Amino acid sequence: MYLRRVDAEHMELGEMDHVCGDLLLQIVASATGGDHPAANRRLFSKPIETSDPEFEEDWKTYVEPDLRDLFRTAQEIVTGDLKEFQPAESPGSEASLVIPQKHLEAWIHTLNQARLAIAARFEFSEKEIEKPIFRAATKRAHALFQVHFYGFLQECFLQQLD
Amino acid sequence: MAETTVERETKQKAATETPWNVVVHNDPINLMNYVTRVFRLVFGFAKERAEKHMMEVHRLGRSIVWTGARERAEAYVQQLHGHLLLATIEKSD
Repeated sequence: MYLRRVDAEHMELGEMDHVCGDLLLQIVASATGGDHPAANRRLFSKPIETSDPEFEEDWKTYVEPDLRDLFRTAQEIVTGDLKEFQPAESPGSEASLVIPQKHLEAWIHTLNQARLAIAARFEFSEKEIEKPIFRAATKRAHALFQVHFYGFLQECFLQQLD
Repeated sequence: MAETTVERETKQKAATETPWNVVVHNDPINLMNYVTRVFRLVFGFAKERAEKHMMEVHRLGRSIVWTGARERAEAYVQQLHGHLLLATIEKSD
């Protein structure tokens, strides 16, 4: 898999096998907290550590809707870019995706949403994140791999914006 | 009566002028380069200063990235939450 500049306005993610392609298609679904309390708590974290119920209530009422809109906007851009994406169908075949340069911020943001939401859902420890061991084909191992794969993509996109 | 009013106003003014810190907390998921980039975007920090705060968050668990009026501190925390950093406000000592 590689990321290369196609022209001044486009990047290409190329040589993606079916595993990478499938993970790419799961980004947006993974990015939402859904009805998972831990994921929502992480995506919409508290603005103050000490107890201040009035401030926290105001934050939920006035700030969180704006944050939801912001997160949704980034997800919609990624969804749009993935609309035409055809993942590789079998082992050995490869796929590619062209991403407009101006969409990279939205990709970085949505990948971050996904990583945080997944990690909160599975309650990964710091140790698991820093020294991952992918033991077996379990949902937890898949999720841990997802967090790291999305982190790799994030790093690639961040380098393009530097 | 007038003196009482003045005193009350002075106390209110002092309360509103209490400086507040914007604190960013450690999060093992957010990438170091990402956090550095957010600090540069939100606060306009130079790369070295942004990296210094990022490393403080990473090593010490938290970093005070800004201190000043509460309203502005809240606005910064909103921006940081928009970038999904763990950020809170706290009264400055």
